[in-house]
Amino acid sequence: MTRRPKGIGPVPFDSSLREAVKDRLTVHPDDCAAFAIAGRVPTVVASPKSFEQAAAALQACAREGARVVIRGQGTKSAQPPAPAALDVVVDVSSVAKSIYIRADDLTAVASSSVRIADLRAALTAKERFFPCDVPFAADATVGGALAAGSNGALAARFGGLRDNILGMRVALSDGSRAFAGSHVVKSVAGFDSHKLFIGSRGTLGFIGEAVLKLAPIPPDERALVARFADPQNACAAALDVAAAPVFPYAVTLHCPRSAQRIAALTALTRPDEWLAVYRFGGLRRAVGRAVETVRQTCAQHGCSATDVLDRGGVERAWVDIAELAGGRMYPATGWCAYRIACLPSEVPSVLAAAAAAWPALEISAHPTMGVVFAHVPADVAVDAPGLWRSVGAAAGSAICTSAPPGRTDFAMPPRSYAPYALFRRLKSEFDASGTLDPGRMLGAV
Amino acid sequence: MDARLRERLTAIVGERNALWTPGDLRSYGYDASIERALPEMVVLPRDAAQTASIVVACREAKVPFVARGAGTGLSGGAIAERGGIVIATVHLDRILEIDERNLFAVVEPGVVNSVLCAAVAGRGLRYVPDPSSMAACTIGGNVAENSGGLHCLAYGVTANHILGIELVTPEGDVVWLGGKTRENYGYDLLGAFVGSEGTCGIATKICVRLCPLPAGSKTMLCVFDDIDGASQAVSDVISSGIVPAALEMMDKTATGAIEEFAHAGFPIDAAAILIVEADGPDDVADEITAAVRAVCERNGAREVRIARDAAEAARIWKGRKAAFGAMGRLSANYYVQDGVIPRSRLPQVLRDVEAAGARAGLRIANVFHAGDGNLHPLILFDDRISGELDGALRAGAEILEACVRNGGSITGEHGVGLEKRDCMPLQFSPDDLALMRRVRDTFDPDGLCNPGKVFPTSRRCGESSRRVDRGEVDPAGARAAGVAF
Repeated sequence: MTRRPKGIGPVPFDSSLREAVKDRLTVHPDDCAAFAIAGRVPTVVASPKSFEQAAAALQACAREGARVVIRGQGTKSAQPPAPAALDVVVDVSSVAKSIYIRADDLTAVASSSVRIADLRAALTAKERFFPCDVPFAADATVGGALAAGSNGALAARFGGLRDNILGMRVALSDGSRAFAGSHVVKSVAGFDSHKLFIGSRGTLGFIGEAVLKLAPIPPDERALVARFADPQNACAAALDVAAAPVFPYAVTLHCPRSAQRIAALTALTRPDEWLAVYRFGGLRRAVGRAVETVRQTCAQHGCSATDVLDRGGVERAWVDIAELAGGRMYPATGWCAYRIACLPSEVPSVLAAAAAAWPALEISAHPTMGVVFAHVPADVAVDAPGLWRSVGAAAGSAICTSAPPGRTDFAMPPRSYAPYALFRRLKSEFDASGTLDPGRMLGAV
Repeated sequence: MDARLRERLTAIVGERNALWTPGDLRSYGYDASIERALPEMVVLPRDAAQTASIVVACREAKVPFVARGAGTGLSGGAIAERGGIVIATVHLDRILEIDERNLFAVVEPGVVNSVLCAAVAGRGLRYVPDPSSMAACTIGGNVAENSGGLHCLAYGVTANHILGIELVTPEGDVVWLGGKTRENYGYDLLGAFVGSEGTCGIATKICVRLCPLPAGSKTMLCVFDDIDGASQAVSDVISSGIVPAALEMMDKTATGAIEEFAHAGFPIDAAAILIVEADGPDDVADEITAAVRAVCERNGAREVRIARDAAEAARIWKGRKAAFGAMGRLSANYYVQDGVIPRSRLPQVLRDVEAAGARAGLRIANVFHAGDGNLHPLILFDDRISGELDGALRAGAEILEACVRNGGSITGEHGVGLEKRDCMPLQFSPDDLALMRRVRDTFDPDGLCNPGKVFPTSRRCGESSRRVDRGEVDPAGARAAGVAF
């Protein structure tokens, strides 16, 4: 992938950077183009092989004031805004991979370069799983998933990434390395500094490894698929389920067009009906009872039909369902993607507002979590301020999670109440040189 | 204390809510830990605006300030070690909103945990974190300490149940971290704030997540003749994929003391007992209890008893919750530890705990959240006997060392505070601590917000003595107030 440099370009720090990564530099423009971030091509790509090398590379860049993007597999690098300037990509995909599983303790330590897919396979062999269904799972790395902070539908039962990461080894731009958090499922020793790195998009430092909280693969797992002509009814049913003691692992809702993308459910989709998918896990009787309770709730809210998936069906369906949440189903070359957070009770109004704005919209939602994923074809004009007004009325916030390079009409105005002063101070405390992808966090931090 | 600052603070909160006489201050000189120190003044604000004004006044006078809830903390987190102002949240005690549809409530920090639970229970909901002190402790204190409780095994600790916080920063600004929605974008300052032990600002509104009450529950008592069998059963339950709502363990020393006065039905001759709670309708709870029974019997349980009715279950839990108080029947004082270990290391570490007690010549009772690996060894001593306090502190340090040596943590839910700050280097390197300081400096660049907590001094772990140098509070008075040290 990277090849020996044909000749160092006009980069003043090349010797220190080269030393940091033991010659694993890419400087040829053609090679660097493969590491472009949202259309911007770096001057140099550094490919450390270890956590220590990555730390040294960040330090070398900081000394010279070079603007750095830390890149795993690049699955989420299209997330806007594009870097204001880019000198170096630190490609951490070659950092040594390791997974250490403590199955009995329901924890694991994974290096950031481990692909989510490989992590899952290793955990499945031990009858465990990491209960966060991040998008781009086939290619994304642990570090990339954490830096992006994109939670999946399993957050309904298990919490988001921040609830399932127990600790983290990180490197900052000044070269310092530290561990934050703990290796056990419960600890209040010191500050939970590691949570700051989740969703920080690499602007605070490099996540070298993470301690994961695992869940046992449940003895039984099923999903109820319910069809609704009216998404408002589907949302009402979901809220009733959330308030009942049935504790689904996840609840997702899909418009007819996005439902068609779930290969395992093609036979259950209808062109004019929305699909609600309730996923359950646990002991056999508990799962059976929960499925029946939810079936009744959906019927009370006018669902037209229900089907039950067994464990195999759940697994097949979830491969696609997870990717409908801003993942590989909607590549940035063809789509603008929005992730909208609101109160669960406001999901219907957000759905209605978004559909009214963009008839070509494809939409999925996690209705009990109050999260809506709106995908607009790239050739459709985007009325971001209009969407913003709708979301704002629903007491929520939104981000654009991908857009074609060069598009600027996606921009969402930052919320006025966010603690931007604290964001800026945090950034300067962790990245005093300001070289880690400056301006790319919310509020241009 | 500077008279101008006193006047300024009094003007903010009114005379009735400004305390500075020695008699008034004495009540704020201790919490439920071994730590003691008197503040120079106590103020009781009524809202965020007053709180922010107090903070600004303290900052301008360069005087430290410490937020305080009910003072039930076990690590000295609310003790004004360096003097200054205690900001008590006693008047910030309103439940502002309960949203049944969106499953959240907005409360002020002085709301007592059990009051919130009672307020939502009638609507079929609950706020899950349930520390043993829930009848007195406040939500603000729970946020500061990231409190756990009996049911955090299945449902998570406080951090997992906080959606947003209105924060008065140490510079006197009022901002929101997080909000009412489940997702928020930007740096997760909320995640870092919860559990920061009052060192990063003062929460003035807290948005908590609510959950539906379970459809029912069953409580079981599993009796073992050897402690290794009980420990292994805990490990096997967790690794088998069964997640009970609660999984608690007590050893013979503890059950003997409890049974004498609580009459919970604990067998006093057993080496250890497990208390397990299974949530769900009857048939679901039956399925869970059957699975747990099988694991326990495989590990040599001599008896597995399922509470026949709610009254018997309540008796069992009453016994568990009375454990700390029951220690008074065994010794004049106890010193409780709060280390955490990987659950598979339970048998080994419990042997280490016993050995630490033997070396100090002190008995240790074990009462703990076994499902989380969160140990609470109660080191029994009599501070009237020369050397016993030092022995207890030494044994405590050895136990924490054993926890860290086995891959664990020095505290699972009580916090670091003053009590364990000098044990932090056991678990964290200087670089790790430096990273935490960056977080602290982000929020509090002047270092005036609850100073002296969390970060180590020059003492070694176990070297800290009862803070008699700051301990203007009479120990006898503290004992009479029910403080265990």
